[in-house]
Amino acid sequence: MNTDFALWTVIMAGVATLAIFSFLIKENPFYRFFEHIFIGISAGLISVQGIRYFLWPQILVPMLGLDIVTYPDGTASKPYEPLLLLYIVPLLFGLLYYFIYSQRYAWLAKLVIGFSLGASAGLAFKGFFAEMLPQLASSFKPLVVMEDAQINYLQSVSNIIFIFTLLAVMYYFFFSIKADSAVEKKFSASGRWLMMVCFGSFFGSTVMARLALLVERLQFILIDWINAIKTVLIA
Amino acid sequence: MNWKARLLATLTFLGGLYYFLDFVLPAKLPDSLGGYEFGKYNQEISRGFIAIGSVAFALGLINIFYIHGARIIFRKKGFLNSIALLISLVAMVIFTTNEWLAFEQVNKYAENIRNIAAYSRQIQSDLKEKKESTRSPNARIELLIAETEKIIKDSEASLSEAKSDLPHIVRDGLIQNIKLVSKENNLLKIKNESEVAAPIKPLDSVATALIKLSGDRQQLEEYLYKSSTTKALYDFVYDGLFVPLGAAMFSLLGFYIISAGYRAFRIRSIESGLMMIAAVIVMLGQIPFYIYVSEVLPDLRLWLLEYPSAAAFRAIKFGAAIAGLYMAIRMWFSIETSSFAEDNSGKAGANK
Amino acid sequence: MKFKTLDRRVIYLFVFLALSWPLLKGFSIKPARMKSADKFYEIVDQTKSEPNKFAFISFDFGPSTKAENGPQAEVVVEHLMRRRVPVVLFTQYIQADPFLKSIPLKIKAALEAEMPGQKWIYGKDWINLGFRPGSGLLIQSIPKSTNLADLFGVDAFSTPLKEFALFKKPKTLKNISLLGQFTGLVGLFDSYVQFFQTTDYKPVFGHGCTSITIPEAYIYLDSGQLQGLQEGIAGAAWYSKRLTDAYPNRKPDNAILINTGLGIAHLLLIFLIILGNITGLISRSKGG
Repeated sequence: MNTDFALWTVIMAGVATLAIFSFLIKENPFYRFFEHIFIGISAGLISVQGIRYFLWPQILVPMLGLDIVTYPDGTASKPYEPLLLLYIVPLLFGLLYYFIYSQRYAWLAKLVIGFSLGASAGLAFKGFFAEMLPQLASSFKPLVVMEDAQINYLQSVSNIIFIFTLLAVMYYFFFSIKADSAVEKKFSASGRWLMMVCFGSFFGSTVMARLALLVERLQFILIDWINAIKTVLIA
Repeated sequence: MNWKARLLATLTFLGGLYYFLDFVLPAKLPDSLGGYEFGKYNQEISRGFIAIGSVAFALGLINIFYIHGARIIFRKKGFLNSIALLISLVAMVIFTTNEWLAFEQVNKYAENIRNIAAYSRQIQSDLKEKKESTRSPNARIELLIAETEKIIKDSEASLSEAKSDLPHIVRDGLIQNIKLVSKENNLLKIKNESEVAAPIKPLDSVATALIKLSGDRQQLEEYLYKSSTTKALYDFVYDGLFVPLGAAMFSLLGFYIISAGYRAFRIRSIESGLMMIAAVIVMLGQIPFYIYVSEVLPDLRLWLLEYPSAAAFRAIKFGAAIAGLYMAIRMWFSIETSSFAEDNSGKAGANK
Repeated sequence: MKFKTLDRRVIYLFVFLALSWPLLKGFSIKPARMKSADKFYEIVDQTKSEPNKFAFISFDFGPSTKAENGPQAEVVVEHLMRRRVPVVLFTQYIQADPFLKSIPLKIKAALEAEMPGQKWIYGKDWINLGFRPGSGLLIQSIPKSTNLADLFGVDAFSTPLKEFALFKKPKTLKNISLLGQFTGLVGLFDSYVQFFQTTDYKPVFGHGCTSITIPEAYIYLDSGQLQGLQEGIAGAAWYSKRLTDAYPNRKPDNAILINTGLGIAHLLLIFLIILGNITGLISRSKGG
């Protein structure tokens, strides 16, 4: 029976994929139906998994002492830690989110949102310095690179291009200073051009990302799904 | 600033205070200042922060029921799709919960064996440390032996009930470890009855054997569970609907990007020309067919990504990071005066 | 005129035909060399199988990016398992949970078929910690932990981590010899860059990204915050080729086949862009 179920799972997956692909021809009820199914399934899955993998095992189980085992002689595996009851505080505080649906008490939801934003802001300090200081340090590249007592021209030119690009793009994008002189205007324009090079490489990379997903789905339809259909038809 | 706004500002500040102090203070304060380890309860505090957000899992569900429920009740356009959405939502909640409960059931037997193994280690530890208990050590070991015998009988019964198509590696492992537990348990029984002092070393052997058996028991229960209807239904919805629908939605973009490339990508200026050249170099340098164009394309692509592209993106990243830090500071000190911080009582405050 | 008003559905058909042909024919050619994937290969190859050391691998991808991140994760975990480096698997993204279970089992089956007599055992060669929510909050608590077994508690199957030989003695960040993270989510990657270190220790970090974030990942490679990078499916294909070269009995996987199909799609796009610009130029010159 399970082999049948596995086979029908593959067939269903193919039907679902084709339903989404049908949007390419025209928006249609078949696509809309499966789109709604997807939303429903996602919402159902995520809500249960959040409780299953965090709220229940990491908060509720220790807080309620459900992880304490009673041995055959009546002794407990470990003493209950009363400090765990403090978890009630964040749980109750988090419940304030639901006041967002009340017109009168919506301000209570803002308290917990503000608290969470504050926590993110506090983390941002460490994150910023941990992430950006190495970036800053590695931006100071030598303009003349020596290798075996000789100038490595390729590396030197590359470093010069790197630093010029960094400064030009920062000048154009970050400082947003109005360019008055011809030199400033050219410098700003070069920053814009070099940013286009960056966007071009982003586009080239994005193409691969999108197409990889498409190729994988087509492979599933053309090979796995067709084989499953053949198996069912033969059977 | 009224009292609500002041309360909001205070809580926002307190929210960020712990992690800010964690960043600026040393891991352990000097002894002259008490020697306090600031991060001692970091694990529990972090869990508390995560718990605040985790409790809000039903927010999205309430919104979905509100919007689609209204569509169904008032028979608005597309109400049939809304019915399908709510049915699939409820069905997924039921299937996922069922799967979770079945999984807990699968673990139950192995967990019971692990608990008895832990009991064995507890007796061993108490004997070594000469700790007193309500019962004598020999009496406790007798209880342990009795429980272990129950486990052996239960495991043998499960094994004999298991179908013949149980993988032999699971079957052989179970048989072997049941014998091992039985042997160690008998040894413990003999020593407990014959020796005056409670035997310590055999307790460790029994615990180790039980842990091995728990692994095999877990595998047996997982094997039985895999052929259950609960698992099949869950897999049907997850692998048959959720995964392919998600992947297909994103894969549509592959078609669009090619179509958009033909219809919209026009070189009309130096900037678009530069963008196009960079895009073509990157694209050709990352595909296997570069050998038909030029051997240097992968190296050219690499140079482009390592130097001009990386430099430009780093400049953008610096700007974004500083802006992010600036916003974080404004948010933390409630300097940000967006509508979020204003008192909106009396106005529609619900996210609809 | 006809090309200018070409229906988008005709383009979609071209795309479908261009991508289907290599898949149906099983046509695959040697992938383009990816030097960043070479670096990733070398850092894994240099990771020693030492007692009390393990690799910490995070699968932070779901069905939407599994086409790229899946093959990347597979080749790295396979490489580590071949080298007998214990692997601890983990995710912060709930949709990756099934991959934490399926990928090591798939690799185990392939390795045991390739090398009969050798076994790869759960609990010894790999441990699955499952999904843990918390994002940056959890990641910043890992370096601070004095015992990772206490922090995580149990594995994905509710077995206490202290029952495994790897976690019998307290383990900290310093026991992690390699961090591998596979994701298309920039936020999670940033969290690892920012927080997965102490003042005196930082594990070697290899990252598998989706192709969208390749230019962004290069700035971390330049700054030394990353030591290895797999660039989308092309990176996975090159890594797979390196594994096949090192282990000749290894069966080739999907990555190279998908990569070839991608190559044809790229050529089609470049052709259409050039065609679009030519038709645009012609129509502008005609004043239309």
